Amino acid sequence: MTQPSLIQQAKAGSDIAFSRLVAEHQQAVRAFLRRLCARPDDADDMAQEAFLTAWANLHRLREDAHFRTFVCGIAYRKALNDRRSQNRAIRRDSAWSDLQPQSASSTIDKRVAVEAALHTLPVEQRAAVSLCVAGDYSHSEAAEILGLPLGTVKSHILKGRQKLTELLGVSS
Amino acid sequence: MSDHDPLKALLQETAPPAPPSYDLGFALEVMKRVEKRRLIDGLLALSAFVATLSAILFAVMPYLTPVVNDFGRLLAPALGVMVLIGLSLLALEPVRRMLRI
Repeated sequence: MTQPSLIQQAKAGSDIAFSRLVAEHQQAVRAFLRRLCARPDDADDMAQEAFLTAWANLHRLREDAHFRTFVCGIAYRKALNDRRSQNRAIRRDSAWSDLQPQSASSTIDKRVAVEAALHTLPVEQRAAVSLCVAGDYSHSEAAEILGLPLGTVKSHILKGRQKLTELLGVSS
Repeated sequence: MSDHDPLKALLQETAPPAPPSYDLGFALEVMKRVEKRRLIDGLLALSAFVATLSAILFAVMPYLTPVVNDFGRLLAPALGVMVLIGLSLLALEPVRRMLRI
């Protein structure tokens, strides 16, 4: 069954169609949120909330819009609202992490370094980089998800790339 | 971006563990939340309807009660006659069958 027909059925009240849309797009939404949230569990909980909000607002979904973009947009706004509590959690986690013996694994070190570098970026830049550099989203899809003009998204990506390149010592 | 983007490669290499492409538990949890929201929405709508109806009845009853009482008094004899006729017909039916009228 095609996505437009699933969306049409879901709009008409079909739970089966909506659950199929959830099953098809959950991975993309959760992966995006895992880049924005401090903990995977928080990201998954927020992703569930995002799908719930999408269900309640299905009538607002345009015919030509992609369901993934629609839900990611909702998820991004939820992440923005949740940013304050996330920042508290990050501070708590890094304080805890400082108390732990350093891991010998270079992959984990790299991951921690990348996470730390990503969290120094403003949330708009982090989201734009997560979508278009780490992910496979186009600039126009990212603009739609973030609710920003295309030029602003490109600028966020450029600035984010520059800062990450500097922080991580990656060749540009 | 090209495939030879070192930053992209690093971000992908250090990406948080990817969620599974098929996760029945996640979809079930979402649908559970959908059902819960639907139930809450239904209860809220019903509560609003009941509250509105109660408010309307509360406002209207002082005017409506005399009308209902008068109407009831007028209708009572007619209802009594109709019930009597109905019962008589029911009672007469077996008699009619026995007499084969």
